[in-house]
Amino acid sequence: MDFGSGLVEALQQMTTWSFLLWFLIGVLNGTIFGLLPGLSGSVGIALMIPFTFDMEPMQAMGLFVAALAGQNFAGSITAILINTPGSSVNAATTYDGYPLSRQGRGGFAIGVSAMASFLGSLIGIAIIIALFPLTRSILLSFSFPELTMLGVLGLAVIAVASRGSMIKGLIAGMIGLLISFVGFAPIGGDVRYVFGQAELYDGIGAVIVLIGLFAVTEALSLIVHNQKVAAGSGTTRLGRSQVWEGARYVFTKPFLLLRSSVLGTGIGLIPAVGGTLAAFLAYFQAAKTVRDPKFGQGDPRGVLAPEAANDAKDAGAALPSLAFGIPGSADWAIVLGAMIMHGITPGPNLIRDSPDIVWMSILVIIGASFVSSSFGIVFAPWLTKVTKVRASLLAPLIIVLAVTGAYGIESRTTDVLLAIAFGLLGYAMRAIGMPVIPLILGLVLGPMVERSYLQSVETFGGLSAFVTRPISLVLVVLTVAVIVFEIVSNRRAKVPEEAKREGVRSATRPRTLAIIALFGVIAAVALVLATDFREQSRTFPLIISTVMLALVVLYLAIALVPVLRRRFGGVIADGHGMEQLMHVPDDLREQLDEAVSAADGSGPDPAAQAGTATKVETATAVEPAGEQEANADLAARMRNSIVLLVAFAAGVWLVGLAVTVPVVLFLMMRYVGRETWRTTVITTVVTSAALYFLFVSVLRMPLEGGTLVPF
Amino acid sequence: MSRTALRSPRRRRATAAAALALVAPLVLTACGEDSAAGSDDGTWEPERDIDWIVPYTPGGGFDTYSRGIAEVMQNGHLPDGVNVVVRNSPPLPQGISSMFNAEPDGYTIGILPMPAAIAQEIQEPDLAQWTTSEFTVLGQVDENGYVVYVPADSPFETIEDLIAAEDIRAITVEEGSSSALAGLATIRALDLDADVTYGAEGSAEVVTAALRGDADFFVYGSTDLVGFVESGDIRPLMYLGTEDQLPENVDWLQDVPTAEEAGFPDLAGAVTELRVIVAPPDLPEPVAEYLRGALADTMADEEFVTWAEEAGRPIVPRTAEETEANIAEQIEQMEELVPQLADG
Repeated sequence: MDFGSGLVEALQQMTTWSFLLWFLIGVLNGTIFGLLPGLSGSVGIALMIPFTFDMEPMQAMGLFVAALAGQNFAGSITAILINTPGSSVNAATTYDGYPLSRQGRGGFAIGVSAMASFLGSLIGIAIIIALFPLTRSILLSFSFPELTMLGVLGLAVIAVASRGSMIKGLIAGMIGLLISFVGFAPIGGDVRYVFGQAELYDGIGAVIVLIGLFAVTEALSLIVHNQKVAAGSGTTRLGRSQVWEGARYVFTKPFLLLRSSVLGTGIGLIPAVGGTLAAFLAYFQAAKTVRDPKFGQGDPRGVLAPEAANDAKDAGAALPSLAFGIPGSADWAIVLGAMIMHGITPGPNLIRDSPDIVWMSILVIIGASFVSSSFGIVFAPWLTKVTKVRASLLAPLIIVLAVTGAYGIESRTTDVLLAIAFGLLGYAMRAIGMPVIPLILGLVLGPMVERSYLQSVETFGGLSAFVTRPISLVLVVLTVAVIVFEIVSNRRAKVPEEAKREGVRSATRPRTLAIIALFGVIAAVALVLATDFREQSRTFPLIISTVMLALVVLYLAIALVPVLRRRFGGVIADGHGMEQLMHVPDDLREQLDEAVSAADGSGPDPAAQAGTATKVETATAVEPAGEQEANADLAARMRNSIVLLVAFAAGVWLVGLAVTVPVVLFLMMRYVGRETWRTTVITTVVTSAALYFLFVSVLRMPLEGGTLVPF
Repeated sequence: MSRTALRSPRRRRATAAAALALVAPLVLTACGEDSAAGSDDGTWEPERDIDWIVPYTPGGGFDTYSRGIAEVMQNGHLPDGVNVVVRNSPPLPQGISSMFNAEPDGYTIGILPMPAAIAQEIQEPDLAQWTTSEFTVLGQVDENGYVVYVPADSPFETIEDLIAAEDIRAITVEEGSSSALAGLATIRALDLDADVTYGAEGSAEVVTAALRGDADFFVYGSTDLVGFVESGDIRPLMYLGTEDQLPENVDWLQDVPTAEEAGFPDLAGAVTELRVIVAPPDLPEPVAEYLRGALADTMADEEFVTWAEEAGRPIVPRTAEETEANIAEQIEQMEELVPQLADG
């Protein structure tokens, strides 16, 4: 069978009812698992494996590839609607997707994402078909130095990602890198920062961190302020026309679409470089190349670029996976495992031996992304209603779902505790205006950069390889260019004196400084512990914790020494555009401040109070007369919800998830959300039953007891 | 989100409709019973799913063998409705520890890589929370002799060329793995002037690195890279197993010179990867007997043999007794070899 007739063969086998049925089931599976925070698409694929043993290999592969291709878009829906990316590849989509939702334009954003995803994978497929003859040379031109530099470029994007608060962004990035060091060192054999916990040996999964930093943090913030996601957009219609408008919008930006898709495909071709990097690089090339950008404030191009790129990346990853048996992504790794189960060996012989499978995969990727995008467009008007659900109902459900999702990944109580801890960390970071996305980038790229850096040094005997190899050199230049460009444009930016003073003031609040100092302590501890590691395991932790410590010291020095503050205040000032980047509604931090000082019993200072009163538009605080009361209320909500979260963690640890979930859900709805008894009881019962059904009955997850009540 | 999530079980139901019919009774039984002791007449039968631990990520050799066995085993060699659930639990020390420390009730078994398990135990006593010799051995599915490979366009045609070469480079997976040990043993025995780059993730990455020219040679299992040898991407130079370890159904391997033929009898069989199926220590005898039987029947099953053939995975099944002897021998070898390698 030659390659061309493989297409005919594939089409024949695919146009049967049973194939189409399995295909649809695959897409559904990918969509649903992509939607649920915590349960990633690869979990869905792995769960299907046992049911395919008796199927024809062709149909089984159709099922798997459909599930794989169907999930990326689904993850963007939750990123847009509740600021919780389905998996890390959708993290960049939250930048602009969520602000759009807050403006009541969630349907529009989903439309953009759906169309961009579909067209992205279409373009990606076209590219890989064209590149088929070159696969081998592309694959072989990326060695350790190139992989290292790709990761470093991604990390440099951190500097860009944290516009306006570069130091805080860098510190967040360093925290992400430190978290990525937990567990086995990629080379050197040390186990780092596990504190004797066997569960940490394999590191802290990005999914857990995402659940905590996004889902839990967002839910906390929603319930504390008792806001709907789409607050203040009561009049906006969430209808279908908005979704179509979004879908049509993509066609008005053909060049951006093309650029992002090419970038995504290119990254997909290089094994081991994930879709997360593809999405972020696409986002930032968009942010830097389009005219009149409003990125971070709900610019639809900020949804278009990363979504086109991450779907195109899946198409690109198909090539190394099928042609070399090198999984281009974690999901492809599982699909490859499943292929082997069915007697199909991916690798150099696949194209020769079974071109029909290769064609089928290609066609299914296109088909699945079409179907899943169509689902999106059809259901979007209905899905966006989530943004109109009151926070008192939505937030407790998000927290409970996210936390059980964290448990669902590997049935480990540790993961639940970690997710809650990261939720609290995210909340603290948000409260001091520190962006969380650099943390995700550091976490995802850390292992790749560390491993390939050590391999480069080992293989090429030093650092010279980074500049003597052409592709690596280009990447080095690009990285330097990104950093220089950012510093220069930051210096040139004309910031009004007033705004600058305000920025410095908000960056030097006592609480901000306390939390930053705490990160400094963490860096110092990491540094001390790192000195005990063996040589190769030590390199990166030493560098990163030193840099982080230096950044913290710099920040504190500028903030605390008056001379430095006057001279260099701009370096640490919370800048323009930062709030939007973090999706913090206007003056939310102000409110938090007020809330905390109110909780402390001391009255808020009158000037700030007046300022807040004029600007704030939330469900609670409107009239100056009721302000004191409203602030006390806010503080009470915040205190209660944080206490409940901590109780959640303690409960899971002591008596297990099964008991704790309904109790916390109930308490949170009743005492933080202040729902009626009836609503609270009904929602608790229905949700707990649904979760039990999903996890215990369908997914067969074993329920672990706690330390007090083992069962 | 709340709505989608509440609705999802309903939608998921479509996917799992068939599965559920199969699963529901299991869940019910699983809730009620937890007996490991078995019935009165001294025999034992599993009543719920058996967890099968693989200390590696999905997709590699150990994972593939495990899934192949699990499938055939649950389809005819276990009571109806009892499934074998493969659980990937990397990294290696954690996977092995969880196999060793599980309840010895027959519901947790796993696949143990030898000699990696014993090498880790000797090299990293802090991490290795197990004693290799105490595992309850159930059997062995494969014996994987190592091979020295070079990329197809390499100037090295024979092992002598490699020995004569100066300042060459090898690539391998993580330190302490069986492949890495085999590589070190080879470098030592042949006195190669070679440096090793560690940290590749799996066989495909090792091969790509060599094809890129980042390594001059590498040592890897004979059964893991069949596709790349057949496609002509890489060439085998020397087989490190013994004569009787040669898998019969791998044609190209028959012509590769063995270490014995090349004049290095000490190297022959010095490091051979065994894929062993084990249960935690102190497994009650009736349970062990049942599982050994089920495993042996599975590996002899025509369906499994055909699967192995199709998947390009040679099998060398051994009984529990033979396997125990093999393991004991490897422990002895490694206690001698590992300290030597550490010094060199």
